[in-house]
Amino acid sequence: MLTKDELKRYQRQISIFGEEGQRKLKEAKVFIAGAGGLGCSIAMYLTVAGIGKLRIVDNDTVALENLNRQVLHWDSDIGRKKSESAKEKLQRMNSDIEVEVISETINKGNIDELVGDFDMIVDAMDNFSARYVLNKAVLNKKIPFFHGAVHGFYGQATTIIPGRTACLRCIFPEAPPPTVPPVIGVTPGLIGCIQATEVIKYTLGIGSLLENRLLIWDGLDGKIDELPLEKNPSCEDCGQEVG
Amino acid sequence: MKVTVRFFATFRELFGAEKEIELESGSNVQDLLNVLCDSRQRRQKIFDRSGKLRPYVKILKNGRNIQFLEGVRMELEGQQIQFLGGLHAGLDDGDVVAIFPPVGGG
Repeated sequence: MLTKDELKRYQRQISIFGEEGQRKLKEAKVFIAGAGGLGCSIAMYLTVAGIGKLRIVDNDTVALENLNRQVLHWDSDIGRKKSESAKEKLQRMNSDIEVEVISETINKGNIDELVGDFDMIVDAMDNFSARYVLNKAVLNKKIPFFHGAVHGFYGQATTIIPGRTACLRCIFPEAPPPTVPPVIGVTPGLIGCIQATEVIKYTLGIGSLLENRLLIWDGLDGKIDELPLEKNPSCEDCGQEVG
Repeated sequence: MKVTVRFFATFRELFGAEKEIELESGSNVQDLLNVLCDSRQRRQKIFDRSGKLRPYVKILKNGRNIQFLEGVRMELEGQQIQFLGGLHAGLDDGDVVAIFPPVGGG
């Protein structure tokens, strides 16, 4: 049930998808892997949209050089755990939702337990080895995975539905060499919003998802392109479970 | 014949966004890359030291990953030979080839 306050808070979006849609958002449990540039953008918009439960996992501490893009962390947060800093701001934005945070580094040993019974994983990691850990977890649990990544003014996003679409390993069989990529805050801001849009659409069952489509943003050119993706029949992660 | 090549993300900084390349008929993706990689810096972006395509570089021909395409079929001494796709994937006039690296930051 939606409370009177909730009906008012979400009035302008309930006019898009109705109270039934808003209830679906309230019942959703979304796991956000990371509270950096992408994670801040994703978490803020899912918070204000009224996703009932967010679980955010990040083990980093806020540093001055994070502040150009990680908009949930402010000057006064330097030295705090990102997870704690994010939780405080998000709860102040919307006290009707539940925000859980865990200060741990995601790895293949703890991922299944961290995700638990959550409905989906949003990728807000900054490296491919962690993303492959998430990829395996979503394939095991058969839950959707909302990928996003950024570099400078460039970004990319796609939505992975196990059994239906290419998995992250089909798309990128090997990681590019690890780097510390340059980033301007607007890029994760925008890509995170695209990921959050996908989460909302998936939860509501409306629109067409970025399934087997890689959206590529070029902020310098102001252009969005889309490249088709396909499953790799001999993918080492999902090749066995192609359905 | 002419093919259009589109680069994405960080590859645009080195190769530009789009190019039209004139190739001899019967050329394949490897031939195209040889023309595109006309400097050491460009070659290093696409190929590793042993001359193999870097595994994270994705190439689509008319929207299909070249890795999943069938290559040229030929008859050799009475036998049908099927070349693999990948860099051997043949090109035709008007083809559009997309080349891009994944970006990895968050």
